[in-house]
Amino acid sequence: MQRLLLLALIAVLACAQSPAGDAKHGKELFLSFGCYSCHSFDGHGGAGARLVPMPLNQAGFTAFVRNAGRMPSYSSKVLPDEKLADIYAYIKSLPTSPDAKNIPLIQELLKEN
Amino acid sequence: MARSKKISVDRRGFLKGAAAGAAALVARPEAAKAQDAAEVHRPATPTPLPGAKQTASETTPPPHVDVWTTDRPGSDFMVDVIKTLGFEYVAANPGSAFRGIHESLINYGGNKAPELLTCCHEESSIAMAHGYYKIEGKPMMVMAHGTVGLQHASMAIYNAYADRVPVYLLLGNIQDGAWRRSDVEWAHSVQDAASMVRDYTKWDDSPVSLGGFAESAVRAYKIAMTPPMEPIVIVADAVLQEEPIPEADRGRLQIPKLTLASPPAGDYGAIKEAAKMLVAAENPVIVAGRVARTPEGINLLVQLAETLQAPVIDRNLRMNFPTAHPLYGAGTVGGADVVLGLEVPDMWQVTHTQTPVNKMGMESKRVTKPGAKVITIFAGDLFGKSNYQDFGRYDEVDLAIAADAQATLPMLIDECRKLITADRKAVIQARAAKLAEVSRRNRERDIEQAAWGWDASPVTTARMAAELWNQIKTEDWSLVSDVTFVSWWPRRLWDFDKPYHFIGGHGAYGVGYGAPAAVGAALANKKHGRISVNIQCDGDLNYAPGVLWTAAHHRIPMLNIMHNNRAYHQELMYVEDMAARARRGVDRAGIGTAITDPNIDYAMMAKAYGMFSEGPIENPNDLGPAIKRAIEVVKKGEPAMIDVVTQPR
Repeated sequence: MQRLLLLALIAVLACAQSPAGDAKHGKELFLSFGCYSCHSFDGHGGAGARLVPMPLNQAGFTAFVRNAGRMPSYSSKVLPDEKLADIYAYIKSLPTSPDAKNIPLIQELLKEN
Repeated sequence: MARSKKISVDRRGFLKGAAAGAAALVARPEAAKAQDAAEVHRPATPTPLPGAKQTASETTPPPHVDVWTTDRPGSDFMVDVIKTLGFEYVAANPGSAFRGIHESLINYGGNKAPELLTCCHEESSIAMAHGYYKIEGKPMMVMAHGTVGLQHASMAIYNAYADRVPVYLLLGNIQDGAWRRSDVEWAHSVQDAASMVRDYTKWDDSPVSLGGFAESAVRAYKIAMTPPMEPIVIVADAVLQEEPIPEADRGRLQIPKLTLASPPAGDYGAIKEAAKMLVAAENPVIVAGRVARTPEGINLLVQLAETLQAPVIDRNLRMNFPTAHPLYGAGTVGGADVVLGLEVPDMWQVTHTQTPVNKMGMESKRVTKPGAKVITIFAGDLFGKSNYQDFGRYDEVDLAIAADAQATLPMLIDECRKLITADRKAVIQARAAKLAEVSRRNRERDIEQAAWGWDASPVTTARMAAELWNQIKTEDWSLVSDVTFVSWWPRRLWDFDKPYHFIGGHGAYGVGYGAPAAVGAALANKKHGRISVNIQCDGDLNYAPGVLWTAAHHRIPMLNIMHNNRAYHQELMYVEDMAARARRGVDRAGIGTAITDPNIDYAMMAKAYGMFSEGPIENPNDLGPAIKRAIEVVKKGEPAMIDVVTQPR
């Protein structure tokens, strides 16, 4: 809980100075820096958390990546703020999943449960 | 040398009518020398037609018959012994060190019980036996060279050892240097063949007579099948295989009767103490490792869980507990006041947090509540070796029962029932509804999460599992692969309730196990007409893809679904972790871990091995129809493959 509060505080303080990202470049970075390897190519999760829809604002996202929990912590030397902004912009551009209510196979599984 | 002399004497006795037996033994080298000389002095001009003398020499029986044949090689007796042990199959990549037994199996033994399976790699042979056991419940025999074959096989043996699986391995070797014919046979011989794998096998022997072979072969089977079950090694000396059964032995060779040992049950006093703790607990939790050895094991675990209304946390090592049961996964170790570990190989990992790979140092913490009690029933406490460290960290427990869990469960259930008073019964029943609701919500959460990325390309592993389930749920199916690398989706979405629905995993995470283990398990399913489903990791298949040919050649029906994420993905993530720790080059982690450029066409690979295939499939909407078509092929008794380009996990 304390960690979340700290991240929120950092996010609020940093919000005004966050650079706007380039989603196209962000996609290249998302792939080359292996974000997909845990979060999937479309950000829907896998070994790592689901990124779509992204629950953090850009500053919170940056703060999290700098000092992550189970995922690798990416220092600014490895991923400068500008690159993280691009990755963030790409994640925000990714489509959300269809509603489970509109997927017949999922509904069948729920009925079987 | 003494042994050579004895055998040549016996052989002379065997060759009745060969009056000049000893002379015959030396005649061959002279003849061979003459032949060699003829080769050296062969004229450059065309050979003239044979004259009358030569024709006569080739059509008239020679005055002296040098008998180089026998109708009773020692390997026939070895096959007699092997047949008494009830093997259905013997898997082997052919090798000269066991050519005698090979010939006896297919001719003297009629290639039935056991039937020879042609394998393209010894690692495949062992892993096929590994997978076969986990469906059939009895060992498959494997043959290999004592040297080069065993070197190929060794990783797979370690997997079977760590997975507590009996594999019956027969090695060929020429023990006596005086009997080695060539440099090949010298290179393929070894003083102590089994030493290479002695650290991760339960028992081995190198008998020096046929009588000794019979006794050791039967003893080895008994040892392999006594919990904790493990691989064993018998070395079949090539001279014993290939030379005639000594005349003196013919009337007295015997095959001992096999009597399997009953599995070791726990000490009665300790069981009573465990029952007392479990019945008194407010929130007992059962952790299941390799509990169910037979179908009865599942029934017993259900009985114990229901008697106590204790949730079961399944470690996915065996088919232990029905996944749709209201107690399945309905609790946590951290929430328990008594934790019962049944055949859990690494209890410390169950009771502690795991330090993330990306963290410096170790920071694992115990997750059990203060005062919580831990009980273990573990056959691994009866047997252990030190060099290979698959046993994990030492865990502090309150009651350790060194016994086979399944054999102990009937007594434990009885003792629990005896101790449940009316008051305790009310308490126990009161938690049933709550646990059922937790289990239902867990399942619902998993199903809803399967929708994430539903339309994504590459295909999500959740969608792959859901599409598969849609096609097999009305069939008699068997999942013959691990689930770790597909985020456990089948275990989260499908209803596992039959003993053959799941076979667990590698044992020691030795990659290369998956494909051959699936083929072995599918072979065991074949006679029951089950649809075997193998979710096949791409990196794993590339170790020894020739097993696809084995499946096609032996008409082993199975549906292979490629989890083609085009990387050694676990290692890719590890290298990313290391690069992030070192603050450099995370974007270079694909070097040495990616399986791209070029992408491998697994459908083409399967076709090359003679297997029906489709793919690569990248559009998730194409997957369901492709699976349906492949299942039709499988129902006709053939293997099939669908190559699916997938998300990483």
